Amino acid sequence: MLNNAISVRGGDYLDYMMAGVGAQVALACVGSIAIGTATSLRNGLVDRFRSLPTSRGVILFAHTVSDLGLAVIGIGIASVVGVLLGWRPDTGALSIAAGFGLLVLFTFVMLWFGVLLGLLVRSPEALGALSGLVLVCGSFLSNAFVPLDGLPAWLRTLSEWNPISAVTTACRELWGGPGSASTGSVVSEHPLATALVVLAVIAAVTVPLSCRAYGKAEHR
Amino acid sequence: MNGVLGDTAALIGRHLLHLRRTPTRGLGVTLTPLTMVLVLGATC
Repeated sequence: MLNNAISVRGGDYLDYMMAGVGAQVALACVGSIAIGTATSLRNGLVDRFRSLPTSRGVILFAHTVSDLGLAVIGIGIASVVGVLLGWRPDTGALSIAAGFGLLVLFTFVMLWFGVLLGLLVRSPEALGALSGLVLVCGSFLSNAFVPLDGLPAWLRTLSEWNPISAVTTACRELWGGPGSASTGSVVSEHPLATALVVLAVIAAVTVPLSCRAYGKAEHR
Repeated sequence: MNGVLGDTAALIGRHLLHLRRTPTRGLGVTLTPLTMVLVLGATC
């Protein structure tokens, strides 16, 4: 429907927004896993896990991997519907697979962010509100659905440095979709490298912090 | 090493079973992007 109202340079809007839809699956997972983690803390599941002779890293890793399976199904469904609507990535199988691989990696990192959020906030009600904020701010303060060309300078800079913009721009490059005009910044010139560095940094922060927070939760 | 892999596989299985029992979580994750594709991508 909005496909008729939004135009992007160098291609069709459907080709532009598919990367944003993929990124939105990852953002939708944040709230889901955060609430799941907080609920597990409340209903005593963590205490049951404490009795198992396994490391807390393994428990959290298993939780994120199983939710990643759900997210992959979500990305698959959205992609199939996109193809039915006319989305045709035309850059070769390897490049297309690399784009999907980047989305899966982004989702995995966002799941760890969600676990950390759930362990820190712990209230499912508060997490419900926070997850909506993450979804809306992540989707719309980036180039996921709207090109940045027409935005005011300050908002454009903010959106451009949003990690989601790097991921979606890299996916568009890999899938041959239209993109925003380059501003000469690192993000717009090297989106794939930027995305990988940013994801590595987020993972390096969220994984150890989540394991630590989980350890503290166990001893309460 | 085998123990860690076995534990991980068992816990993944347990979480997947839990996800099957709570389909609303799956609906939230899959329906949000599906709705966006239809709302933004479909041409009238």
